[in-house]
Amino acid sequence: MKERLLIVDDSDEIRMQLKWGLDKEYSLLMAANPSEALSLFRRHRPSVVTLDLGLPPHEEGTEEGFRCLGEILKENLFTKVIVITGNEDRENALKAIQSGAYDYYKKPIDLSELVVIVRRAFHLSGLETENRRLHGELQGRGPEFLGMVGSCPQ
Amino acid sequence: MVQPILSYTAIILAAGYVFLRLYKERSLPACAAAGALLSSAAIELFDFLSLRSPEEVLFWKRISLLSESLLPFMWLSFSLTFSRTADRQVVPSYQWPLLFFSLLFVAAAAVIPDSALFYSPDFRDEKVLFLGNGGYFFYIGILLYMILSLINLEATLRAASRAERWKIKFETIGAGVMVAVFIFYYSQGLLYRSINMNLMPVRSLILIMSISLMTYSRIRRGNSVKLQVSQNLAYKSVVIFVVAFYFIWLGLVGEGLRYFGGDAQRTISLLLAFVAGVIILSVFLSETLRRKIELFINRNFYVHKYDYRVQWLQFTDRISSARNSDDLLMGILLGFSETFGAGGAVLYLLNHETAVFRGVANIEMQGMERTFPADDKFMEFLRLKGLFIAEENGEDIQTEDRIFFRNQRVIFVIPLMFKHDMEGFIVLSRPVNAHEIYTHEDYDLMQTLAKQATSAILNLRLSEELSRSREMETVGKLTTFVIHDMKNSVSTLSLILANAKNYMDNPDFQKDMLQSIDNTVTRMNKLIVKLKNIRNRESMTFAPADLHQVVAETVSLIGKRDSISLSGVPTYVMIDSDGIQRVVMNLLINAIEAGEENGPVTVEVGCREDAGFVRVSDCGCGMSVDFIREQLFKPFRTTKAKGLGIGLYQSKQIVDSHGGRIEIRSEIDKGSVFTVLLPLAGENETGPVEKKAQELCGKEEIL
Repeated sequence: MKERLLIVDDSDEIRMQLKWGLDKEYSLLMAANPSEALSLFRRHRPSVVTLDLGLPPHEEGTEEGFRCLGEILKENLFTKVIVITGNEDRENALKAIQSGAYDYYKKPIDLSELVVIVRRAFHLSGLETENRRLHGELQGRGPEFLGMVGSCPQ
Repeated sequence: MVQPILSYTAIILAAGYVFLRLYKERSLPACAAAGALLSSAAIELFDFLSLRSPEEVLFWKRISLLSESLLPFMWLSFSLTFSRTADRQVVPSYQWPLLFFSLLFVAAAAVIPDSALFYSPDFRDEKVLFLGNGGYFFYIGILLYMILSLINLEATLRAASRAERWKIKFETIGAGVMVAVFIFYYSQGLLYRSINMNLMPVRSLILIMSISLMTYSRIRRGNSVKLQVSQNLAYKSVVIFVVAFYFIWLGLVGEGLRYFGGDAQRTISLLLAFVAGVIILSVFLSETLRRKIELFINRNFYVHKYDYRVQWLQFTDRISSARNSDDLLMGILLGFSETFGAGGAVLYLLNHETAVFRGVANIEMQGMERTFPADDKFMEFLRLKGLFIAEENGEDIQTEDRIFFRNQRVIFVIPLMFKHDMEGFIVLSRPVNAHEIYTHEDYDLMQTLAKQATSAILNLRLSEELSRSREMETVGKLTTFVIHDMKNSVSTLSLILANAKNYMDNPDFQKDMLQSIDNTVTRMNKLIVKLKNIRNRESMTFAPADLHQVVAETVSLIGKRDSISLSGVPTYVMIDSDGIQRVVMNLLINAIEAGEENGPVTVEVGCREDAGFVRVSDCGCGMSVDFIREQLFKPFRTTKAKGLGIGLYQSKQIVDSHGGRIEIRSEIDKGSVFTVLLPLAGENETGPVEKKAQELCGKEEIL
């Protein structure tokens, strides 16, 4: 079964082209704004998300993007969120990583680069899940308690 | 015994003066002066003859009367031409008929019979001529004309600048005194209905004095003065005041004598002395009265070369009407050169980066390419002295500068000081009037105007710097904005390229690809329009154009064609099509962005009253009244997260420069209606187009 990837971008044509580029490898979820993104996330629990920081209604700013990032991580701390932005500031990159984003990717988007980053994210996510599962088995507990572990880091 | 000497002296002096005038020039003023003096001398001669032979008094007096009848015309002509420009405009309009009527005196003198003129029962003993009705009115007429002449002379003197006044003062006073003595002489007639010829010696003496004064002035001070006497000056006359006072005094004394007899004179003298004492006392005691008198004296007796208020207003007017920096600098320079009568002028300003003074504006001066370093000796001199006056300070400066200024015929260099820093200086050269005498009054005015010029220049500099930094800010915002949009477009294209390698043959992909490319093109078009908006303020070219067509083209430039509905008729307006296209684009973008996704936007084109209009309505979020009033048209204010907040600001500027206006109606959460009103294409510019426009507008004929 293909793994689920959530793509959040307000540009129709970018979503459309990413769909063509990534559809083969992943089962894609497409969102144009934060509310769509969050509802899709809650329903399908994708382990990797690409998130455009400039989202409506404030396409020029990054507030909506960061808000969305926060919400997603609140739902599941282990989600690998790849922040994508057209913004030049280093500050935003740092802030994104500090906020818990897995990686930071600057536009313009190059499909082959993005594919590599997404693959690595899924790889890591898979390793982590595996790790947590083994850890749980050692303690004689099922993976169904993962959520509890996740909410109490360290 | 004395009388013949006095009379002959007066006559000879008058003849001398006339000879002197006519020998030098045969101009209208000279002839008028000759006429005035000769008629006065003739009166002197014939009055003297009638005194000498009392038996023939009526005969000689008749001839004297003929000379007297010439006085009004001669002296009025003299007062109107003396030291004035020979310009018909100079004569106040009401004086033309008076000049004409003055000739009636000659006719009257010839026609009125002796009996109606004067009678003298005992001329041998009492040298008094009693006046008949004819004589009475005759002399009153002369009296009035002489007063008018005196007022004219006063106006001439008053109009003269200080240097000019120096030249004509004595001659004017001489002539004035001569007129005044006639007024004094004939004023007896007004009260006593008689001419007291016992006053002859006094008159002769004063004539001698005044003619001497005129001759002296003519010989020593020359007379090249030609004044333009403004008409309203004539209304501010001290003469009227003094004459009126004299008549009141005369009436008081005369009436007093008639009622109280000889003794009354003493009483009246005492009374007058008492009144004068009270007046003097109150003058000393009353501050207000003193100030009023001071003001009166200042206004009437002490004439400034410049009316500061007028000069200042003119200068302010000139520099405040400047629309750009070149206008301003030129305005300042013109103000200086005209005020101080300089044929050439240059304005130097300090370039703060290179610390060099460089000429930035120039009137009729060549060879001023020379620059002055800020630490130049001459600059130091200017900073210290506050003014360079070539006549006074010519020797105080370095030889090199001295030669340079002399070659340029520089008369003044006026520094523009801001506190202790010199921002620039103004060089004035080649005086229009080579003999113009400059005084401290000029220097003061120069420095006053320089102060004002400095503050205007500094203001301009500040606002230029501000707008430059504004521009930089705009460019910064714009760059971020453009880069963001471009990155999205490049992303799309690069993704298409990458996908095309795998799916080029897939018809679904082809469809999606075309859609993506279409969207990208639209996005880039929008970006281009926005960039066009920024590249602003090129000069506009107005031409008649069909507003409907312009709007239709603009609508087609916008991607979301379905949501915009355009209606209306061709309307021919006088516009800069590019500018209006920008305005409409701004309004459309605003309307689209204000509404929901694909919310309807209606655009209507038509004409109303005498203006063409385009109306853009949306059903979007609307705006509050406060926002419309305070923020809407100000730059860098916006409700949108996307955008610079300059669209409407620029739209307003563009519409304003068309002489049009933007009307707004808006309700929160209901939507906004923007109506842009533009002038219709005028008939004279377009002819047939206008006709067509009116037909198409379907309105009644405007003319």
